[in-house]
Amino acid sequence: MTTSNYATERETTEGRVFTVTGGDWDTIVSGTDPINDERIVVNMGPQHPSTHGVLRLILELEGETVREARSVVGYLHTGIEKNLEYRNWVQGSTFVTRMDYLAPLFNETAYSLAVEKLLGITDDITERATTIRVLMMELNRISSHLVWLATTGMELGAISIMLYGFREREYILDIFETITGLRMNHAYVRPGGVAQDVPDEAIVKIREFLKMMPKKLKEYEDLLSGQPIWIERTKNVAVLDVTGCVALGVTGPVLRSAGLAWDLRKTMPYCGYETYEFDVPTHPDGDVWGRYQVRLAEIRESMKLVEQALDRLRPGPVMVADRKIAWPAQLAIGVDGMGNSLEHVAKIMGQSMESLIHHFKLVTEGFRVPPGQVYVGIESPRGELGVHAVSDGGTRPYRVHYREPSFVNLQALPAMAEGGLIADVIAGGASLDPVMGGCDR
Amino acid sequence: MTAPNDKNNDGGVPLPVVPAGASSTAPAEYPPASPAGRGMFGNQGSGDVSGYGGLVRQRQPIEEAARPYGGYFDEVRDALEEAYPAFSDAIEKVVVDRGELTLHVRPERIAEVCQVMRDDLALRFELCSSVSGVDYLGADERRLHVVYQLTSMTYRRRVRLEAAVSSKPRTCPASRRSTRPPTGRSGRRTTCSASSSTATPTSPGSSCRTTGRATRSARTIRSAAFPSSTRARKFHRRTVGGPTSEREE
Repeated sequence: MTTSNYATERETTEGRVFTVTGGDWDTIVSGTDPINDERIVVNMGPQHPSTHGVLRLILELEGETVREARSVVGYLHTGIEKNLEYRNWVQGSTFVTRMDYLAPLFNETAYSLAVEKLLGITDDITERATTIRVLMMELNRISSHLVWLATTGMELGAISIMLYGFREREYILDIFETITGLRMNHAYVRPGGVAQDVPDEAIVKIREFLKMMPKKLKEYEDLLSGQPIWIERTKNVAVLDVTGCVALGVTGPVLRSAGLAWDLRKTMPYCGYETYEFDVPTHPDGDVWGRYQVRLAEIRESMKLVEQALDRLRPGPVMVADRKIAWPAQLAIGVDGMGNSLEHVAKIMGQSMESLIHHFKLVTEGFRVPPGQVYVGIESPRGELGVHAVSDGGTRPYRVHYREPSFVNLQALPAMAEGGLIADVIAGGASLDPVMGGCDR
Repeated sequence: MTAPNDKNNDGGVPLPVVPAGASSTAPAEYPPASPAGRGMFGNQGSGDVSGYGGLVRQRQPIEEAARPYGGYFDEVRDALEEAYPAFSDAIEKVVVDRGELTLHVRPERIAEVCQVMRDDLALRFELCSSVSGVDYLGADERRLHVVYQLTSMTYRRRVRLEAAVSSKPRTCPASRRSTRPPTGRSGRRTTCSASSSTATPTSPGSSCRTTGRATRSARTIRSAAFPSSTRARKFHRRTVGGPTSEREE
């Protein structure tokens, strides 16, 4: 056994404390006495179909009752925050989009808002760029909630809803592909605006989607809401009230399902959300059923927002006018895909040496950001997504920290699971909607 | 701030633009002019175009803000000063930058300040949104900064607390001993654990049990420790049982 950085095993007044960091399972379970003790320790995950990715849970059971539940995270740690420090500010978009892979546009927008606040150009972002951000975020919220519905349904035994949820999400991914060129990991929202304008073709697609979606939502409700098994598995399961939520830092649909209408889009607006008309759905019960109801209602509210954003789209620039910050290249579709437009290449290669230098410096080195630190919080599908960004005046971030709602919300799992049945661990965990890519980063 | 009209600019030719907040019309002056920030790409003297400026990062000292700070910042400071007698001892510096208030707190006082910030009726920072660390390498002896983002859901305000410690092994105190909320009940809380949070002072009894238990899980997430209490079985029989416990019996 080699020494590790973790706390060692020790005796406490509450019993023996173990350090579970991998290693020999026998040593872990040796803490329980199988003869005089009906408790068993069960390792659930990290490879488990119902723990939403690589979440590992260690459960201490008495029969089917969970006495202790502990989550172990970090299996999907990819060092994104650290990597950001070695790339320039614009390249950061490409990294952060990979954190919470079900809500990439939220990661990008939060990052961009933080960088813009550091630069002091928040007010210079064009109206069209902001509207496109809102449009994309709300579409993304719908797709994220659809995946939640699909996976949670599957984990609780409703296979059909899984197929339907992913089917409709696919439609949104098609829209994203039309606009950004990619289904996931878009790097579309950049500091200063967005990478490209929205093509007309996408507007038609979004309108079609808005027409189709209410029928589909009705279908989901017909499938689940009156279903006795679904009700049995969700009502009064994994209850967490407002006090518990706030004490544990839980935000998002889980907090709203407990009755507190805390939504950063309303309470601390950004991207002009205060000018849109929408409601913040809540539910009084604070159980899995409430979270299901809140998320379905949020899909409807997001559709309202998408519709309003579409109506507001006016022609105009999608990048900040400051050419010391804006990406110099005009992107265009060529025979080999998206890239710098041929006119731009011809210009910098043939006519303007200064343009070439400018392009080269801005692309290879990037712009400087004045020293200081900011914290920006936005409402992601899972709760408050915060970015704490520090600049030392250089062309690269000095430190970027993501306050990931998946990570913080997972703290609530033991509070929801302990004392309940083991089957309800799945329901409770799923209702938090953790995305381990975001949690571990 | 004034940007050239986009229509007049054909095809990506850079035009001299005054950057945001610049005091002169020189195209490359960012506020505040820092040694690391002169010129658009910070290049001075050498012909270095690698983009990394010799990898030397310089930092200017953080400036204390002068009153009035503006917005709700004055109210927050006054309320904290009134509610916390040791204010002048605990708060090292008040910084207002980019519309955000930062209180630099002496690390040994951080737990007390956090508790006052949570419990005082005029402050009510119920939610600890985020805790992160920044290593200001080369700044001074206390180069490691622990940064707490507090949110008041009641007043819809945000405040940042910052505690600087040296790299010698030590910790910021977590409010273990003295964080019992006024209504009593409920166990220990760690304000220092990763992204955990403080509770509202008016916890109803039903969920304090939840709170107390779950705080340990916050610690668990961080250290991956796993309490497997065989001896405490009876204790658990009596006390464990979340809101769902009726279902199983």
